[in-house]
Amino acid sequence: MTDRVSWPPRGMLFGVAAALLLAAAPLFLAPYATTTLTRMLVFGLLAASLALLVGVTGLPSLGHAAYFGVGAYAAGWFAKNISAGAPLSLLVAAAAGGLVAAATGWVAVRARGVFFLVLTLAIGEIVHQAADRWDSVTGGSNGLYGIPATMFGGEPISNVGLLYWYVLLAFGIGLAVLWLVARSPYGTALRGIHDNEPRMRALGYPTSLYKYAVFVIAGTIAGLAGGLLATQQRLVTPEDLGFTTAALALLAVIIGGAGSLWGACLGAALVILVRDTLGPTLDGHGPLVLGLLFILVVYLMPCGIAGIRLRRGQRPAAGDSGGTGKPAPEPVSVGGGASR
Amino acid sequence: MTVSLTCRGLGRAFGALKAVDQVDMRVAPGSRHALIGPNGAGKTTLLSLITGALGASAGEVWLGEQDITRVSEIRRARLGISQTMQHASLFPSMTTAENVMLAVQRHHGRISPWPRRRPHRGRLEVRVEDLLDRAGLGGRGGVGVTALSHGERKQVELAVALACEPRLLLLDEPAAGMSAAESQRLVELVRRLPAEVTVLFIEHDLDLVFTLATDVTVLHLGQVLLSGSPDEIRTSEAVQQAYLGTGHTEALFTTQP
Repeated sequence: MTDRVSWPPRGMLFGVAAALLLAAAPLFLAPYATTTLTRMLVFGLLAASLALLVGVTGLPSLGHAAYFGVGAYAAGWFAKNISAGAPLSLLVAAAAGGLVAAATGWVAVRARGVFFLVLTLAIGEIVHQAADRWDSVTGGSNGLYGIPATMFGGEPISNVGLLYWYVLLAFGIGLAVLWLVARSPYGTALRGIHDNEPRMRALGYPTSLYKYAVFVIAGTIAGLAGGLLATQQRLVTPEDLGFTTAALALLAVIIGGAGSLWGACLGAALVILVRDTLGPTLDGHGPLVLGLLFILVVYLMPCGIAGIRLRRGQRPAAGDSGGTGKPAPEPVSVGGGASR
Repeated sequence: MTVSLTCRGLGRAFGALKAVDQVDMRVAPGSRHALIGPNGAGKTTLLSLITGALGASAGEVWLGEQDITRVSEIRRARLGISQTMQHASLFPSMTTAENVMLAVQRHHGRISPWPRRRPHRGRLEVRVEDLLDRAGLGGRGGVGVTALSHGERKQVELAVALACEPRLLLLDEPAAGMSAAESQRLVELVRRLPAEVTVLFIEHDLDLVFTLATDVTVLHLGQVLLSGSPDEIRTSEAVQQAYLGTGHTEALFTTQP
């Protein structure tokens, strides 16, 4: 508690440097690379929202793409039918993601471990099926196409660089929300739930309520990321909220280091790089490379990318990485006093 | 305000096994009440029934004038019941100070979803350091709990329990695995607790029990064998037999009255 901390903290310096570098990227990148970077930001925000669930709270969801997809459809439908003005469709996307998470989360957070995993998988599949069948709203298996470009000041954002900056701004806001939550007293409580939920209950924390709240927060940010997807692609298909997207998001979180928000973003960037950029050049073997990458990361970097600096003996400040991107410590008992 | 604890006909069965059976026990306000008995007597189960970690199959639990039998574990904690576990139950990814902060912020702070402001955070940190000092862990706040010795983990547990400013403090074998020096520090710490705190503790070290306890309840096979003053317990043949079996004449209690 009394440890001396340098000012400004090193994490903040890295954050500012990364933000400046990202902001300047379109100035020296080709349009295709800028588009890829935009996709990385979109997927990065989805992965970071999932990291809040998986790494910080210990809720491994396989249905998180549902809220991402709901946000994407909501934003696309809103832009197509009501208004394409920025940032209305993004707000609608975040609200839709949050609402669907609120409607489904109360059931999900009552399950634990593998049951939570299976339940979220089932929720994801139900939403996926709904998107595939609800032709009048989602366009069915053809997807929702013809989404107009986002309007800003009466002009469409059609320039790749401008679109990138728009996405970057929304990404920054979404990531800041996640970061603030992870660093807050509530975030500390979530880490406590991750570590030892029975003990948290014994301390008087209403753990089910806390898990439900974080489920809704993560769903809201995933919805926002979905809105960015609709803004960028201007097409939303059922695959965007299917199992593959959910699994890739989980893969990104694990590659990045469960619990680390910035690690999840890096993991997402790597996944997009392999899937979208290297994949087509590998004669359709992109998924195979992703699978190998996953195995390598699990074996060589069990704490993911964020774990590399930890292995050098550093410990993250709480919330800097969501606070839990540490190597798995040896367990203290988590059992409590059930024995006689 | 000092509170009493009353168990009336309290029971808990696991299938055919009655782990706790028809327990009537009263813990007087402000007392240091020891719960002793051989292994398997149902002591920890009884504590779990009091905290609400386990639901009762029969009977009632009262905290002061309030029937808490159907009250949830979380609500009971908020009513002022705090506990330490038989095996240190901490938050392994956190430092010692963060472990205590979790309890401090629950009791003193608002669990807001945004970072705490500096003056408020400072107040809570001072409180954490004070608790760590009281538990004999001054200067160890930045150490991860997994790097602590067994005895130190038990001390962290105690600091966490005290952070909630309990009205009823339940200690499940607080000195188990502690060195003599650590045990002595624990005794001093419990002695220095405010008189308003009612303490119910399980302990196998009978010397420690008779050093600390104002009242003792002996549990055997899930039932109350005897409840009384330390002197009554010390001279009871029934208690000697429950611990050692019949036909033994060894001195069970080494501490002289």
